[in-house]
Amino acid sequence: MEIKAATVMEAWRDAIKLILSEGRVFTDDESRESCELLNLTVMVENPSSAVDAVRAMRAYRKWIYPSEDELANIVLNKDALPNYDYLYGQRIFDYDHALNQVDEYVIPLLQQRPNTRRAVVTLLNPLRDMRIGKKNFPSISVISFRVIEQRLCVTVFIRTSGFFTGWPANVYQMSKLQEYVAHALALPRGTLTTISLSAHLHMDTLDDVEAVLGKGVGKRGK
Amino acid sequence: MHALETAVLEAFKQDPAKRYTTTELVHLVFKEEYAAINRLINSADKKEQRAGYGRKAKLHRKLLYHVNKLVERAILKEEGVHGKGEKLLALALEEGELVIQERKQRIVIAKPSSVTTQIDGYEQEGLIRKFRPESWLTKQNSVLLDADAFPSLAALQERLQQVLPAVNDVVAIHGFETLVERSPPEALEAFLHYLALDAHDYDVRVALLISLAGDGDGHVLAVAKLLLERGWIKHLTPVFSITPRILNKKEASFTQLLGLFAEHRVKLHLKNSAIFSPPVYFGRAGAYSLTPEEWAYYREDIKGKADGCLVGQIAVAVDLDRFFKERGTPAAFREMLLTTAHAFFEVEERRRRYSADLSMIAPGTGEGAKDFFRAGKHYIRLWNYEWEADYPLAELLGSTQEELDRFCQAQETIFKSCGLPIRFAVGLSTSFGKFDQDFFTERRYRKTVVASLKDLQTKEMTAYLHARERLFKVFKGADRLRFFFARSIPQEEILQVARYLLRAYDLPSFTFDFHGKTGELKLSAFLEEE
Repeated sequence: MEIKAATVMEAWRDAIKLILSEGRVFTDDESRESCELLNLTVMVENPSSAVDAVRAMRAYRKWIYPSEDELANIVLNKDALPNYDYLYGQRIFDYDHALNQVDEYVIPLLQQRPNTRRAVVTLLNPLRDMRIGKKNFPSISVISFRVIEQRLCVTVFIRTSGFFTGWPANVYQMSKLQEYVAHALALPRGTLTTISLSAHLHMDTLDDVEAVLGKGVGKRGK
Repeated sequence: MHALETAVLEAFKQDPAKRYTTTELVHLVFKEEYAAINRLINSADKKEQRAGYGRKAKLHRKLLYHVNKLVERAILKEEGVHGKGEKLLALALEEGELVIQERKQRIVIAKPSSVTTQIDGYEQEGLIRKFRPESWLTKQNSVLLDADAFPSLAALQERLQQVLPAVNDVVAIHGFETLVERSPPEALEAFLHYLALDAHDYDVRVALLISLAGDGDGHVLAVAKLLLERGWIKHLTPVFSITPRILNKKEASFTQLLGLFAEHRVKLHLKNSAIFSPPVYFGRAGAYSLTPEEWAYYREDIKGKADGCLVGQIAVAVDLDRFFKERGTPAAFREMLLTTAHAFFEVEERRRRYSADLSMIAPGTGEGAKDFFRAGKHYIRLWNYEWEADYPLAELLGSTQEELDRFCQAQETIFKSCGLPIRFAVGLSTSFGKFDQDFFTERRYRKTVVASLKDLQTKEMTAYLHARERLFKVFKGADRLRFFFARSIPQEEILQVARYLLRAYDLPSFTFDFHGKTGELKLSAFLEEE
């Protein structure tokens, strides 16, 4: 299934409605009842609008949502900060302490071959992640950068995406990374697309969905 | 800028709010040289000792020359004197960012303003107190090091040099008996001497967690003797693990141990490892422990990858007596504790920004560094609660802890879903008077004075001990139960009391206090004894 929207807020609302109307309800391996839609594609035309979704979540006082600074830092900082089990930034900019995938590969590659389809970044590390019983496992798996009509477009492959709490943060993080690469290439930003293998919502958060995104968004059924 | 001046500024960079004595700075700047000098000072050879003192004085003079230059440039300031006329030095900057640019060198020191949180209102009302708030952004309350990870005392000593400056309450050394058994007595004595000095200089305690299960009773007794006779016990606090079976097997050694502590009129901490395997130990703020689940996780997933783990992060104390007199409802209590958990989380967000400083305590930068941080928790410590009304209190605390756990789990889940896999936990525990003597309300302590085993077998005492069992469960082992002994009690009777407590109750730990005072104890007297 696919959603296209001008802004992140629109895409977010539409995606949640779609998950609740088309998804199946099941109990996940943390024993929470969830509603899940497989292989959901969401394309946003204006990725800079991602900050609005983060601010909407931070304005909701029931919990503490990560700050814009911390979200950006996590994806752009290459240092392995020990407070986090893994760091997207470290995997992107210092993969296995061996490769800066963006500065040493994606940017020079796109500068030389703007039409390439090889400008991808991998975040999964099978040697570290694929252990049964491991507590944390990265959700963002692959990021693809394409230059289309002189704009830098990004597609992100997400293993599992909690669409209420996780997706706005992931989109904001990817928009910051897109901004970083676009700036290096001296290109404007194009679309930002997420492909979520499991796009889901926890059923016990539907009241919160309504509180943040408005009445009717968190209602299950067609 | 001279390398020594840079090194001094690096020390302030780690903890911009701290005031350092010159001795502390000498320790930090000349780590290796200072360790070598201490070995000389601790030597049995008088000539070597003199040489050691001479070199120590020289190091002080050398450092002072450069410190004075930093004072002249208004980068540092003198903030008074400590002890026998030692200078106390602080950053001249009150808050903000200090940038020192020298040719190719640039040093930036950020001195944060005091941490404001959602609980400041409660603090103004005198209901809550932060533990050492000046280092909330830069230090941890407590770290546990695993003796198994260190091949020698020297390796442990080197690691402690890294850990002690980054902790503001207590460092525990688990399995200390293994080091005791495999180290020559002279080396062990020098190590303990040096450790006591360091603990004093850094104003922290070191808990030596010693199991009595092994065969090295003689060595353990020798260590206990050293700690007591040299007065190092003030900074180095042993906690002995024992079970009813071990007690039966080693009655003679245990009796000697009791005798030593009774003779010196010092507290003896005992942990019953038959019913509680995680470590339990004590700092100035209160008791620390890992839960059985955290301990299992440490043993299965962290041990071997990291040389220990973080146990305590930051803490506050709540004066329950004042709270229930002024606010009075369980609902208000829950609200205050949840607000505190919120505040901890917000501070933790700021602490992650300072994680370069906080991660100083991690072993290296690899996977082990991450593992080191996986068991830490923030503590809400409680002061002045009435035992007579204890059962409803235990229920209230238990259900409040469940709410705190739910909040922590929700925060972890939200952050994980955002690509920020963090650990966040808040635990309840008891507070000690030394947390902040000026803050707490004065109260009369229920002092359990034991003159014979029969004193523990009364109906009232049985109910009290069962209530304490429940509290231990709520505090997940992080509690302290003290028994004061009348001076007249024979050693054989104390042994019977120990045997009875180990067998009859689910008490993870208990403390025998041999100060021997009698009657009701006022807080002021109690604190003097602490």
